[in-house]
Amino acid sequence: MEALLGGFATTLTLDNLFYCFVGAFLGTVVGILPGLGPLTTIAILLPITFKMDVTSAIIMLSGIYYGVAYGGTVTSVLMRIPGEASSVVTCLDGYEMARKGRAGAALGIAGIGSFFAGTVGVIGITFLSPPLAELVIRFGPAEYAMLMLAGLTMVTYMSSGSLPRALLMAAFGLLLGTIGSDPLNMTPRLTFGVLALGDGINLVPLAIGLFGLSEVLFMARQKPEDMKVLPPPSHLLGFMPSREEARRSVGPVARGTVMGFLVGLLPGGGAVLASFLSYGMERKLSKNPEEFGKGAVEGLAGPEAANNAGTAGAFVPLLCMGIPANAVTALLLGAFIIHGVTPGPTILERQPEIFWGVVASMYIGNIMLLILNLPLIGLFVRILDIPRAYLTPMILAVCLIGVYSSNGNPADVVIAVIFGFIGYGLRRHGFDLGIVILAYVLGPIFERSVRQSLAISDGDPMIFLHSYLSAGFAIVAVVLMVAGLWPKRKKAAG
Amino acid sequence: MNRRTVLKGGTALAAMTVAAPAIAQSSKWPAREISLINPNAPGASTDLTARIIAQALEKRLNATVIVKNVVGGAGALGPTTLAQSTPDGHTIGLVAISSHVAIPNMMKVAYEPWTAFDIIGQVAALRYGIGARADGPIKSIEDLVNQGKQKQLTYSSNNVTNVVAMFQLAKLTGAKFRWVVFPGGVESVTAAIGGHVDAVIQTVAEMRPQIEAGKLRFLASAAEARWPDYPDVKTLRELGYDAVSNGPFGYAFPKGVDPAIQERMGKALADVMKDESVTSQIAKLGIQPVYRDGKAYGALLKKIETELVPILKETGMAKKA
Repeated sequence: MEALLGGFATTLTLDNLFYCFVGAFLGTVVGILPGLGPLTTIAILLPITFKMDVTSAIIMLSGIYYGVAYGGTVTSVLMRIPGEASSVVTCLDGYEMARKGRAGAALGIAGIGSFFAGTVGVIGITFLSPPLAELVIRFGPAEYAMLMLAGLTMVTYMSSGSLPRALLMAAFGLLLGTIGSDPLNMTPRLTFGVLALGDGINLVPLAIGLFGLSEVLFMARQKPEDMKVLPPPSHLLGFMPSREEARRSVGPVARGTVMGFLVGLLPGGGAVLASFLSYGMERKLSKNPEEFGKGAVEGLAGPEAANNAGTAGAFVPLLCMGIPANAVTALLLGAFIIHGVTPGPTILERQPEIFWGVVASMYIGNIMLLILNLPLIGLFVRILDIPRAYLTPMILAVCLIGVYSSNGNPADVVIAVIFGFIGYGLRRHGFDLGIVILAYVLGPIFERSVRQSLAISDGDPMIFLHSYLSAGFAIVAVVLMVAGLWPKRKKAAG
Repeated sequence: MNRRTVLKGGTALAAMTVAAPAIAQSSKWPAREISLINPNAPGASTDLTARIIAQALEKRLNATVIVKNVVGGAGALGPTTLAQSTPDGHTIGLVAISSHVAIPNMMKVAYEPWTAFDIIGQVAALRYGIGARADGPIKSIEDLVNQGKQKQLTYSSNNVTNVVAMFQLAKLTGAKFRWVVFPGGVESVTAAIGGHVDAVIQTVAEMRPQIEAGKLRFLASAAEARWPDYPDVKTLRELGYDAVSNGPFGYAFPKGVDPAIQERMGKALADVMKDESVTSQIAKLGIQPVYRDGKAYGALLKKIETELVPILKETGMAKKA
C-alpha cells in the first residue's frame, strides 16, 4: 500500500500528469481511427521518448495502450467499423442499439463499464501481480490447446441462427486461419504463391471488410426510407443509459470484468478471446437470448468490460514476467528495455518506483479517460445526423485508409474489399460473422499448441490431460459442447 | 494463367525501372528523405536498433531517415521490396540471415539473394545462450548432453537461425534434442521455466530477466564469445563443443547504387558505429553492436549459409524443389 502511495507521488507531478493525459488522449484518438492502431503510434513516438524521463515515457506509452480500448468503441457503435480486434463484438449489439436511437446510451454504458473494468483490473494488478504471474508460467502448449478448444466451443453460444449455420461459419473462420505460414515449420501454406498472403490474412482487413465494408454495401442497397436511424436524444445528458438499461448492464459488466482480467493475463489474443467469451456467456445467461444481435444491452456491456479488464490484465505478465501478451505489449516491452527498465520478476525489487508509478498512472489514466470520453459522446453521436449520402462514402474512406495504414500494405486493401463482398453475401443469407472472427483468431493458436504438445510428447495424446489445468479445460470444453448442443437437440426432437 | 503472365510482366517492368535510373547523381545525394525498410514489426529488436541507427544517420547525412516496417510474406516482403526499389540511394533495408539464407531456401522469392543487394555493412549481432529451468534436473551442458543420450529432450526456440548450435551439438555428441517452435522469444523462455520443455536457446535480451530472477539457469553462451554480463559462463566452444549460433544483421542498398553514394553511406554507417552513445543504446537491448563493412558482412552471411541449409533440409523447412 505504501508502495502504491509512493507511485501516486511519482505520478502526481505536473509533468507526469501531462504525459499521462497525452497518452490517454492519443490512445482514444487512435482507437477511434480504425487501422492507425496503437502499434504504429507507439512506434512513431518511441524515438521522441528517448530523451524523456523514464517514468514519464512509460506512463505516456502505457496510456496510449489502454486508451485505445476506450476509443475503439466509438466507430464500432456508430459505424460498425471495429477500430481494433477486441471491438468486433461491440459491433454486433452496439451498432444495433445505435440504430434504435440508443447510440448515446451505448457509448455511455461502454464508457462507464470500461472505467469500472479498467479500475478493477488495476486493483487486480496492485494486489495480485506476483501470484498471477506464477499462474501464467503453468500455461504450456497443452494448457493452451485445451483452453482454445473450450473457447472454440463458444461458437454454439454465439449464434442466433441454427447450429449447422454456426458450424459452417466456424469452419470458414478456421480455414481462413490456416492461410499463411505453417506454424511449426514456417513454410508457406495455402498462399497460392501470393507473397501478400505469406503471413496469412491480417485481422484488420478481415474484420473491417466483414463488418465495416459489408455495412457500406448494405446501405447502398437500402431504400432511403429504410435507412432512417432513430435520432438519439440531443439534450446534455442524452448519453445516460435509462434505468432499465443500467439495471441490465450491472451483471454483465461485473462478470465481464472478472473473466476479462483472467483471460487477459494469457499471452496471445487475451483481450479478443475475453470479449467473445463474455458475449457467449451473457447470451447463455440472458432470459431473452433472441434479443442478442438486435441491440441487447447485455451484449454490449459485458464484452466492453471484458475487453478493458483484459487490457489491464495483460500488464501483469508484461511487468512481472516480461512476457508480452500481444504485439502492442511486445512493443511496450521494447520501449521499457530501451529506457533501461527490465520488466520481469526482479522489477519489484530493483525498480519499484517504475512499477508503482505505472500502476498509479493507470488509476489516474482511467479517470482521465472517463472524463475525456463522456462529454464527447454528445459530439460523437452527431455523426449519425449526417445524411447517409455523405456518411456512407465517409465510412468507406475511413475503412480503406484504416486498412492501408494498419500495415502500409496495399494488398490488405484488396483483401478488405473482397471480404466486404463476402461479408455482404453472408449477412444477406443470415450468417453470423462474429463466429468467423472468433474461429479465425483462436484456430491458429489451437493448431499451434496441439502440434507443439504432440511434438513434446512424441505423439502421445495423453499430454492434454497431464496437468490439472489442461485436464480442467478439457472438461470445461466437453461440458460446454454438450450443454451447447443439448437444448437444440431437444427442440429438434420435439 | 492470365494472372501469372501479368505478374511476370510486372516483375519485368520493375526490373526495367530498376535498371534505368542507375545513373544517380551522387553530388545531389541525399536529395530527399531516406527510407530504411525493416521486415519486422515495430518493437522487434531489429526495429528498435533501426530506429537508433536511423536517428544517428540523420545527423551525419543531413537528411531525414524513416524506418518503414514492411511486414508480411513471412518476412519475405521486406527484402523483396528492397530488392525491387529504385537504386538511387534513397532506400536502404535490413539484410540478415533471414533475407539471404533462411527465406530464399524456404520459399519461392522474387529476388536472387546474392546479387540483388549492395551491402552497406553489419551493425549488430544477436547473442544466443542455452538455458534450462533452475530447479530442473539439467544443471550443465554436460547434463544436457548426457540426458539427451538416454532419452529425447525437447527445447524451445522461435527461429531457425537460433537453433544452429543445438543441431551442431546434437550431431557432435549423438544426443537427441527435439526443437519445439514457439511464436516468440519470450514465449520460448517461459515454456522452459514452466517445465514444458527441457531447455531453451534464445538471445540475451529474452533470457536475462529470468536468469536474474533465479528461475532460469544459464548453461552456456552459444555465441563466439562469453556474454559480457555473465563473464563466468563459458561458451560451447570453451566447453569442448564446436557449436555456434550467429545472429548478425546489417543494411544494404538495392543493387546498382552509384559507388560514390555507397562509399559515403558506408562511411556514415562506420562513423555511427564508432559513436559511443549509439553503441551503448544498442547494447542496452541485449544486442552486441558489431561493425563489419559490406564485403566482410557478405562473406559472413555466405559462411552461415553452408551451416544452415542442411538444418533446413533436416527439419523439413527447406522448400521443395
